[in-house]
Amino acid sequence: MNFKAELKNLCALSGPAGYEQAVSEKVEALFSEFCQEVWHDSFHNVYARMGGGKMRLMICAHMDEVGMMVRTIEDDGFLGITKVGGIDPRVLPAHEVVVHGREELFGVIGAKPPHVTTPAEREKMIPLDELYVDLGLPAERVRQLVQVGDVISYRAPVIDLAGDALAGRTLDDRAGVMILLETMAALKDTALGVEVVFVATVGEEVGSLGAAVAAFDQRPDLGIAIDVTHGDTPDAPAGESFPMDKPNIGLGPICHTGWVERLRRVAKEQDMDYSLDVFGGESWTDGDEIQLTAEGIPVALLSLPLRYMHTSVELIRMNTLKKCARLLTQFILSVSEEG
Amino acid sequence: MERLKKLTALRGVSGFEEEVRAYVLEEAKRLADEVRVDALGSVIALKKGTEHPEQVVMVAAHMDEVGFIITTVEERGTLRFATVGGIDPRVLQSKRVIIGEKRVPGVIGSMAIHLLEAKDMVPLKVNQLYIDIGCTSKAEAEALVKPGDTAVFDSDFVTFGDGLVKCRALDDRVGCGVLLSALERRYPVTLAAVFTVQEEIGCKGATAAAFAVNPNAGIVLEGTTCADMHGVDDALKVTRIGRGPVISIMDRAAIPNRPFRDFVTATADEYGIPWQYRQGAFGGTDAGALQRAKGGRPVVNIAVATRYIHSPVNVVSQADYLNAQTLLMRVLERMNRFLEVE
Repeated sequence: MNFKAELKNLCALSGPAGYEQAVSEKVEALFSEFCQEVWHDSFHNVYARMGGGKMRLMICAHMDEVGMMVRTIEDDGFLGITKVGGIDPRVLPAHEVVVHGREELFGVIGAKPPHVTTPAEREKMIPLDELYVDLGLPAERVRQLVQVGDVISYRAPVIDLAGDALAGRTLDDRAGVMILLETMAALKDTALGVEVVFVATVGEEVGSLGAAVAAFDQRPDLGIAIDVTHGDTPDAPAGESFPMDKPNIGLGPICHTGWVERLRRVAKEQDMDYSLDVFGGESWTDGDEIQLTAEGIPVALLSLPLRYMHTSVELIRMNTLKKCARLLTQFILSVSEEG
Repeated sequence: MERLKKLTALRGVSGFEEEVRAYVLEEAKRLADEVRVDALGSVIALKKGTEHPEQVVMVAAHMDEVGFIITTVEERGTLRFATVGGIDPRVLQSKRVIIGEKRVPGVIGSMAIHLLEAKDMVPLKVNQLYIDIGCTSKAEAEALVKPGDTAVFDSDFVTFGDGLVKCRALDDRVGCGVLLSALERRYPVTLAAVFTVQEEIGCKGATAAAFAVNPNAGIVLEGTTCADMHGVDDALKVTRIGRGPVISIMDRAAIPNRPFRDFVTATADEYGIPWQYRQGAFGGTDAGALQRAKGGRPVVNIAVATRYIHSPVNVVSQADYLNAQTLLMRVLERMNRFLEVE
């Protein structure tokens, strides 16, 4: 399998939180390439079970994305919008989008031309409720094709940049789903002494709805959330952003210290460099919900550094994605052998 | 539309119009009697008149577009840039760009919203933004990009909605497309088709070319401001998309000649071509340069209403574009009448 090509295909699909079905179907097909036992639940979480043993690991990555939703249909056919997940409104002026109405409609989010804005206006961020999607259609056509509540996604390709860098939409966290897939591919011919349930979750961007459902269903002995963390950029604060070429192991109050140590030990044994993503409160990943499922579940976090999170130019390094998959694979093998 | 699509695939930041010029030259050589490139880089193509070859109408469209120029390659491999032409920095954050002749892809970066404090949610200035091409060091980046390379928005040609087109640089590739179409015919008067450079930074090319061509009258083809989006006061909309070619009354650079303007609108009315006035005096075009040439010449603008001008997502109506072509041809066919009464 050409994992990079499949990642691009996966990122092209629209799946704002609550509307992940197309992504879910694609992920189910991909998981089925490397695993016999694949299924989905009523939320469209996709599961793949491998191995067997006394201990059950649940390893998840979310397949939903941040997006927008139609808030109003104006008399001139323009669409007022609201957001699904944490979008920076400053990236939206002059952005291309797809409106998922009765059919998929191309649109642009308008920005008033400089000629009709005052210098004072240009000093301010245009708030979300003053941004409109232009479908280039008269209002009566728009009303036939679009309803309030229809979802809107970024229109943007995933492009190759220099070296092994990729940039585009929804790499948060389809890149994480690809880490699951590469790990499954690496383990497909191994008789595992541990049961591993890989889950592509829904609804992470609005509070890890899918992970809560999946963790309750599976009651694993350990839950690992595979997500993205902030990559270093010239303007990002040190300590909250990390080198792009190394996997990150999460270390915060919600992480199970024993399992974090185990991940670090495996990395050391494999001579793999990693960053430690130390945080004080919530992890803002599926891990937060998994921890509080049922009587409580130990949690560990493995993250891929990504720049420009929640934009349509999210940037990752493909080799780092592969390093994350390798670390995860070695961790599973370690648990399989030693318990 | 095929020609417009080809024109928009070419890069031509002001002062660096080589790609557009090469295409225009190839087409003009096929269509015109005499073609030359002037000292600043504008293309001047002459099509001799059948009845009054001594009467010369200069029709100008600019080849350049707004964009970026790389100023610095940083130690970490990121690029700093300056804008070329009037770009509102608020449209830059998280957009894709294409840099230099090698067409190196990049993205305009900025810190993720998660790391921001609410008070910092203000538009970023150009000097706070940077281009990320995926390189990890200065040496790696310098192998791909050097200071002085230009960059354009990465924005494809999309037809959508009710006969609309979205692309970058429709301002003023629409003008270039209309002008190349006009060269396909011959008129009673001589057509001097001038594809100008550096309009977006102050109409440099047109100033020199108008002096050289010394026309009897001038027509400037433009992609012009259209603010007919939701939330804009009617008085500020300036033009409406789909309502026909735009005829300017005045702007900051020129006051089009009233009799010439009336001649153009009467021609449109006679042939049933829709048209609209440009209801605003913002901005300026090559008409300012033409009007001042050689002691003053009558000029008019024929423009195509362009939503989201100077952004990655210029939007025009295909009907407006085709109607501008028709109107220009009809005007040129009867220009002898205007020039004789002038």
